[in-house]
Amino acid sequence: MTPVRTASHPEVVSEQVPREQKAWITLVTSAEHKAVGRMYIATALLFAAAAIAEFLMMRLQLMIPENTLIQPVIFDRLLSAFGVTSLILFALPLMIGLMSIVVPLQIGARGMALPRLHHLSYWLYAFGGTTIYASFLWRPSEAGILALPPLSTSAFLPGAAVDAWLIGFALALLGFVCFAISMIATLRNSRAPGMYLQRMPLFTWATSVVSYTLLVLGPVFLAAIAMLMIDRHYGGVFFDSGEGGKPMLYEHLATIFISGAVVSVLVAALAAISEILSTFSRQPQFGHRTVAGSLGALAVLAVLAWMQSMYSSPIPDGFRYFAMLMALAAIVPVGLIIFNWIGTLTGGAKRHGMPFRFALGAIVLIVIGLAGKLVTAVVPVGALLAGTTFTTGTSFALIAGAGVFGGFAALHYWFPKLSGRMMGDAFGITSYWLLLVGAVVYVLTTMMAGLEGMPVDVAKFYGDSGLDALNLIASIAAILFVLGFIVALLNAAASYRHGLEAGPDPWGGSTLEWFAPSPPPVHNFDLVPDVRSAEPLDDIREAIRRRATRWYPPAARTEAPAPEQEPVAVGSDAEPTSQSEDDRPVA
Amino acid sequence: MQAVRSRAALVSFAATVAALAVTPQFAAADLLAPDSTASDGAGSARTLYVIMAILAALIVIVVFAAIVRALRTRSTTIEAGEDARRTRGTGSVQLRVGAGLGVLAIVLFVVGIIFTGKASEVEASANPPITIKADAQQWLWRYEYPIKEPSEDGFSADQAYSYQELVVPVDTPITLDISSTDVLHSWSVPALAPTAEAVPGIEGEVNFTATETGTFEGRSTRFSGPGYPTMRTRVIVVEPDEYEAFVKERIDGIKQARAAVQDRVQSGTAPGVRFQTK
Repeated sequence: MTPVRTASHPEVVSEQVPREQKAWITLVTSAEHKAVGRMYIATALLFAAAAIAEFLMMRLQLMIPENTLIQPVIFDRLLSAFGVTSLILFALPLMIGLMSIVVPLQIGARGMALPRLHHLSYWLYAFGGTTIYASFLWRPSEAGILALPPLSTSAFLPGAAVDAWLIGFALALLGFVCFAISMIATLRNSRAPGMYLQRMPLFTWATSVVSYTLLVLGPVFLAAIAMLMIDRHYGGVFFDSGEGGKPMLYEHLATIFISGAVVSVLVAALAAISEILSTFSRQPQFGHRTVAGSLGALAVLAVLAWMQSMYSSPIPDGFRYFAMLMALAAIVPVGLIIFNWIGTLTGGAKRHGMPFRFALGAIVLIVIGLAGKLVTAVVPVGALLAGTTFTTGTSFALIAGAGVFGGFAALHYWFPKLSGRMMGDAFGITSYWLLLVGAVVYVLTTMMAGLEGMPVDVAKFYGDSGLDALNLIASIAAILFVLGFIVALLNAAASYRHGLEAGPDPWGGSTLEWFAPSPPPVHNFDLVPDVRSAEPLDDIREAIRRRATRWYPPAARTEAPAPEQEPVAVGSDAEPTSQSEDDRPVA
Repeated sequence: MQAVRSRAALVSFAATVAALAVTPQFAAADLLAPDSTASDGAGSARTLYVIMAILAALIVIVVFAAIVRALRTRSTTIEAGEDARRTRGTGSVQLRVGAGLGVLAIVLFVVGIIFTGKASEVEASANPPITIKADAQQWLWRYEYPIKEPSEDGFSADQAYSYQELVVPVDTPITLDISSTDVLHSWSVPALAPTAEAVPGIEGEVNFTATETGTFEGRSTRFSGPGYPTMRTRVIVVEPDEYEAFVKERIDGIKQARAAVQDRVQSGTAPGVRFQTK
């Protein structure tokens, strides 16, 4: 809000003339939640570009048997960077950025409750990611996706490589914990009057679940990193089995955190999908409270089932049964969420739109991924297939479904609140089909390769193992996926400045973020709305409609035209503005 | 409503029949199932895999069919009025669906426990069980076989070990004691047994009884550094008398090699000795 500085306004009585500030300086230094959210999203998409470059190189290496394109050591560096980038530097921060922008708007708040902490969380994350990638200037980590000791101890990998990886990871994690704290404070203190917990939109509800998950589990992996750093530099023996340490401890802590991170992305994506389905079928969410409860239950159960990826480790049988029980119990919340999606869609007036398409693509991948996880959730099958690409194929389906498709669905959906513009449809549809075909074929072929005995994380495979065709198809599918991703990134970058102007409510949503202009002003709302239900914007529309409708004497009322059909002049700023193309119901 | 429900039932029934018809054939063709047929334990794990895979395929098909059907429904709830629209899905239907899913989870849990027992049970065999030590290091496996007849004083200097290739007798309960000398590894021969992690400082264990002779490929499936892709192993299942001959041959070979080294040490031609005498 730059003050007016013309001669006709002598009442501006500032002691200093405010200096013109460059836009990017405002963006970078502002603690305003939308500026921080924009930077989160931009940085996450930047790291996504790095991740897909690494993914492409690894898949090119695995295209033909005994390929010599990339040396094993270089492959290990790409692998170590890819693991942390895809989940911790891309998928999770993309969701966090969307939450930062959308959640204060959805609860009718003027901003975050702890804006400086929120701002700090972004910079911790950005510096963490930079630290990991700065190590490419000398020698990056070769310790694998999770940097499991003893391989990551100084006996096997001395030097600064693993340190940079660990410290970068820890900084990003600290950032996420700071985000969680400021988000929890916001959700507890800044809700608009009447925004009770059960009236919170599902994405806000998921944000609360994700925040508590990160707050509880972030320190778990921070502890593991601290112990490993002590082992590496101060002669600690936490993970040195020769001195009575337990390497398994790190594996447990890391797996707990990774389960939490994956389920955070998943919960955020499921909630975003629910909101998109509800908006695009023009129906209130079917079973709003059940879905909200299921999101929380899913997070708890998925974290408690962390050992379901460790069935082959030397752990007691009781632990395995516990993990199996928790993993199978997660059927209930997942099934309820899917059931309620079907309920929302049934009988609604559907219409097309890129967010809706991406949401359907996300459902396809998430359902395939969860079905694959269900197969390996039972102990004998999980132990038989542990360490084969069957497991990484299902994980890829989950992270690509939730992080990439869910993330892009949410980005398309909330892009007006981010930039005031719409994301392009032509690029969007191209990227969608490339991503979907690539991801589904990649997932199915890697799962089949796993059944034939393809191990995870390998830098090469042998021609005598009968995996040539499957790996070739998987690599081609991966190339399609990467192409689609590049188109999607270009689409986001181009639409930020040159997209079509979006009105305040391009999709006809029923939550409060569509009450604010696009992009929202610094203070979000001129008037803090009064919330009466879980669909506050529907109530506002109804109130405007009533006020605008002419009063008829009671006797004549039955002949009067229905209020819905009358053009409403007063409510025009709250009405959907660009529905002409999207109005058609699905045939 | 009745028509919709019966069509949904028809679609799910057709999907069930299609999945049941197609999946076992793929599974039998070993395209969609691991080739775990060389031992009873791995065989029952494979059976459970086929059951779970059919179930998962069914779930995927039913969910997709239900979503497609929901997408094709015409708008019916607009006329119902705002209050009716907002209270959809708040009835006992959630409870019933949740209970149904809970029953499914419990059934699968019980099935999982039963099959875990079946996969790990050691069947009675005429042949005495054998315990073999499998020690992982970057990037190979060292298998040490038990010596059957120690010398009279109960102590034997004899040793029988092999690298990369494990030879076991058929129809004999085998226990592999898995350990690691450096970093994490894992022993994965899906034809015979579940995967087992080799963790330094912890003794792991794999039990299996091979029911057919042949050569079975395996590999390490835990990232362990730049040589990790080359860390493969092979299990050769032979008749018991061939196994005895193999162990005897290893003992003799190792004895001869030791004697040769001893000779060279005493004659001063061993490289290490020359270094020491300088």
